[in-house]
Amino acid sequence: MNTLFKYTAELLMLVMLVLSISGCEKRKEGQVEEGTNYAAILCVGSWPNTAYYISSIPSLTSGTISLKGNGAEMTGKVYAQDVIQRDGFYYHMNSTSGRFGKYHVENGSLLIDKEIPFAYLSWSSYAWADKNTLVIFGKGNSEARYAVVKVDKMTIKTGKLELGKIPAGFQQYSFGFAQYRDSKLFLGYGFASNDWSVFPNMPVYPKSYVAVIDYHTMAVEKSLEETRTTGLGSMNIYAPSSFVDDNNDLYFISDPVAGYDYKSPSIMYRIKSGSTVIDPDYFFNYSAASNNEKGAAMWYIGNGKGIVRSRISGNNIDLEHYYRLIDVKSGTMIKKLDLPADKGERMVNAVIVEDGKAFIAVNAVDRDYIWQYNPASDQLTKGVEFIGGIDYILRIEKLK
Amino acid sequence: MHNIKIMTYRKILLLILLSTFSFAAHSQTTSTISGYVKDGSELITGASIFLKGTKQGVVSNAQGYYELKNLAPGSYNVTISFLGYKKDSKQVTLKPGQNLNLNFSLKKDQQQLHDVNINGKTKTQQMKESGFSVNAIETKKYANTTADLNQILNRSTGVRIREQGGLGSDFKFSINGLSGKQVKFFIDGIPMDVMGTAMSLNNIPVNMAERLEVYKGVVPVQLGADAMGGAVNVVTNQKVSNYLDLSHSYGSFQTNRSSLTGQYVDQKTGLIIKGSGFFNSSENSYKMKNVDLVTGGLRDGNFIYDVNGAEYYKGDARRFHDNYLSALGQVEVGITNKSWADVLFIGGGYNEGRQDLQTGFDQQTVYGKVRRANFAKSATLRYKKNNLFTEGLNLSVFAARSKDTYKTTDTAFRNYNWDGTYFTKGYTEMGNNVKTMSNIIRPRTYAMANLSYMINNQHSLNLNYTIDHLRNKSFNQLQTDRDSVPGLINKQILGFAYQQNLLDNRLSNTIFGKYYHLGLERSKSIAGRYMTQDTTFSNFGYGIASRYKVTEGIGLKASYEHSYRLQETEEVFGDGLNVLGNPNLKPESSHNLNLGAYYSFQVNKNSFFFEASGFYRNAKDFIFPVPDVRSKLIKNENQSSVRITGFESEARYSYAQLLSLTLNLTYQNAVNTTKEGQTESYSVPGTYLNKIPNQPWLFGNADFTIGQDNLLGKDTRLQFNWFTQYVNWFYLTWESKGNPLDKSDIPTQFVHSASLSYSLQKGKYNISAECRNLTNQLTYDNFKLQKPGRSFSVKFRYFIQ
Repeated sequence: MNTLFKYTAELLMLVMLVLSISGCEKRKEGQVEEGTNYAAILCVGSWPNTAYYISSIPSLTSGTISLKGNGAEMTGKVYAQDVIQRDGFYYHMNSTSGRFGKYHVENGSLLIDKEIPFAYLSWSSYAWADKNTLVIFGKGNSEARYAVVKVDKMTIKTGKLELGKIPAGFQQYSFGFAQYRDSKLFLGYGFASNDWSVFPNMPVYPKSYVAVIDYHTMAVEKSLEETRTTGLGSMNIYAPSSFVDDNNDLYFISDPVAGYDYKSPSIMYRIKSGSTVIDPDYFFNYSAASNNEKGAAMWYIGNGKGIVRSRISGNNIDLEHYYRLIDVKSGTMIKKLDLPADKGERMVNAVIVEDGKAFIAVNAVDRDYIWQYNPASDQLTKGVEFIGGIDYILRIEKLK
Repeated sequence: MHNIKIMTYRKILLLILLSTFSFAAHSQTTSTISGYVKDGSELITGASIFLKGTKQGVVSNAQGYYELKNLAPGSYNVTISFLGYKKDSKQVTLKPGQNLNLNFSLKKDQQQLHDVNINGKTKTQQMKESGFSVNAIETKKYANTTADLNQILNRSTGVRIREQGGLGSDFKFSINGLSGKQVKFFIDGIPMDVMGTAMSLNNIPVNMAERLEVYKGVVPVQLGADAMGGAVNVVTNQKVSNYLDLSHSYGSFQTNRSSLTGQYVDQKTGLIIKGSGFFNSSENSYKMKNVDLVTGGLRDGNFIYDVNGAEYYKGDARRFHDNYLSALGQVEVGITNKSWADVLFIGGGYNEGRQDLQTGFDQQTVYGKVRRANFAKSATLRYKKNNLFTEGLNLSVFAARSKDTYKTTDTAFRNYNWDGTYFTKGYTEMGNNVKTMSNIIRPRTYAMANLSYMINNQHSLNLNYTIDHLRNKSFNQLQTDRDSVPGLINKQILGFAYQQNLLDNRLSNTIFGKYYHLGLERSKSIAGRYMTQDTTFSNFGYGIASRYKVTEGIGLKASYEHSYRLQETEEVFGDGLNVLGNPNLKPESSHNLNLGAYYSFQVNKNSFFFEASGFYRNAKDFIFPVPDVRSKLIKNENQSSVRITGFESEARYSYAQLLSLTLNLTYQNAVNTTKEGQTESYSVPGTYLNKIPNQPWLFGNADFTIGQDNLLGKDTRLQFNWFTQYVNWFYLTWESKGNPLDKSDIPTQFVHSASLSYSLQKGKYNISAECRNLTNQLTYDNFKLQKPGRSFSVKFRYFIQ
């Protein structure tokens, strides 16, 4: 019987070992971040273990940002990059689970303000009609559709957009920039194929359009046709490619590569204040002025200047990006900003404009900073640094 | 570097081979007794053969062969014994230089056999004492339970099966931290998927299997596959005798499971008919707790035609679209013990599965109409001949032709909610722009040949070749009726192993090499013309498995393999539907190492068995499907690398047939070794060397059985089983990242189950009652997808042999 006891003791030791191993890995205590004016959406890990976080940015000009013990986890709530933000609230349409939600960050967590059942469309672009009214565009049941969301109560009004018919050989709409101006909505669109058996040589429809929509009735007044390029703007749920300047003129830039068109150039257009036609006197061949680079995204930084996130030439969408400074009114290239190449994600909401200065997040090979560009002095300075090996800087935002 | 290694291995191999042949060519003046030990046609491995009154004795090898050499001429009493069988002896007289052939046919000792299963050295015990790191599980003790093979395997060390939901749901099988396509499944040495989709571990009832083998990281060449992380082999009943095993169980959530296996042997002609089949069905209507339900909106029955004003609130709801049904039938007809064939069988099978899908990736994504169906038919040929041309040369061949069809129907433009209500969606439930009935049709030809040669008792060779030719057609049935550009995969694996048993069988070494050759092909339309794209890959893997017996009860084990998981056609060339091609894909590869020891002993009727091992996996270039934002399709990429170090242990105690207790525990530390992160950067990703998230790293099981014979009448047995499963909590995301105040995790789970069974007439009639998840715990494996709560079932089983 003694032997038996001996082994009971050994078993007991084994149990102790289990408990000690499990005891080792206790959950850590966290600290609460304080409210700040800026935030970033960051991503770490490799698929399928990628994780998204919203981290506050205490200062754009100094310090560091790390995800170590910091950042509100997005997993389980908003597991995505297409998250738009206004006044500190985040909005996301989850087409898989059929809901549209409003969220904010508090005490280091992403909280759900409200989620509503919504699956009428799968969103591509949006425009704010006013600070409480968000208009979103997307496709649903092979139609072009819209939804008008009153974000305070999260009520929704939906409808169909009467756009041009999908031509033979193409199966779906593709949407580009969206911009609200004086009770009118402007929406770039085109047509796309879903025959993936020919990928990557996808068919390209040679014409693209800008729909002019009356905001009050949501009726499509007309579609402006363009044949000199394709892909009128990128899906702005990722990054903007249009703006309205101080003169109330609307500008947008095309990105043909987004629609598998590797031949057409990136072109910048204008729709003048009060007008609903593409300004025939304005045509800025951005690619021609930039070694055949393409405009992936564009921001207005004031004083007639804009910054373009510029993708280098090539038959691929996942190439490196640079930032270029343009003169908006004259439609000319000023220069390539002397920043390291951005090796990050394809679509990045990378620019914040504050006090007449542009703050640009660059995911570089070496170190990742938010750079400050001061147009007045034409100077670039390093600001806050992202440290600790962050894989993707996806968005930086101004919260207030 | 690799080439040099291979060279050295080859040299060593050659050297060993040469020395072996010189042994064999040794002197001829003394006499030899040799022969085979069998039970009917089944070979017996590990039987002790000794000469009474001398110290000479040997043990029969894996082919049932034994050899007593260097014997002086004279009279001997050859005695043979094997646990579970009646002792036998023969009187012989040896002339000088004589090679006497002496075969034994052993008879089962029913009484002893009964005890053996409780404490003796069974086949599973022998497997545990091999050099490979292996879980060998005798399914007999579970035969009266409603368990499927997954549930049994999930109780063993190093294995973690993560299920999406109830009966028939998708699962991920992990062996020592490697999972998915890195783990391959076999039934009697044949890849399970050759037989069709329904032939899977979550379907096969326990009664169809006799034994389960889980090879961890290092896989013998007989299982010819690119099983990088390990392999599971289900061994069915191979006895040449009549039997019938018939069972049915009924349980919670309208779950029915029936199973039938049987065999009829015509003793006169040697003709054998084998049949097996199962039928599983369930509504899986278990309760989901605290999920999103919808109130408000304008409704017509369950249809919310205007979602304006509709809101979510939390509540409980039963699953409403999770019906599952699977059925399988297989028949084999053949002969045994002919001069030209030891075994020759031809067979045919059909299986079918129908399944409603209730959720997507997470439980916020609710489906109400998505369905899957699969059906497969197969024809097989099995041949085996021992002592072909020369003694000790054994050949076995298997060939199969099958066709598997897999259909997913996703045609509803609806978004369902947990309460069964739905509203209109702008695309299908799974997110397709058009109604989709996707078909995947896979005609397949598979063949395997295995040649083993016993040079003598100490040395043996094994050569294994498999060819797997698979055409993959995928198309949306609502748009077209065929795939104009089917993918083709042609996989050939050649394995060679050399095994030696030295120092009186105390040291056993198996050295092996595997050559993988992969051919992939797919046509593609370029400017209206079809062009064939093709590619071939070759890889060489190798390994060794060793065991040293310190004493009869104590053994040390070590094994290593450099293994691969090859690319598939869809991964490289896409499927033209949902997957984009990636021609730059590399195979996944891993260095796997196991070190272990076991210790078994008996004190009177108390038997003890302890086993502990450490494991190391250094795996790189994992292939993962990554969603592409622009195309909304997925593209496979070599995404990450992982290093796993772990420890597992098991302790078993039993007292005769009365009680048994098994405790096991597995700890695995999987860290991310992806140095080249998602973006090109000089700095190391912040997740480098971090623990891989969303993966259990500490888990264990306790299994207690107590049973008594003849308690309620003669030839009866009453048995009670208690089973507890423990999984320690783990984070769903990276441990060090994000504010710890609000990190998502899966909490620690303790799940208890109990069953009581009663057998009559020596196990002819059996009835059992079972309760799973006794405490009705909320359990989950993946992203908080809830699994079934408490459930009850009863099972009736009729068994004759």
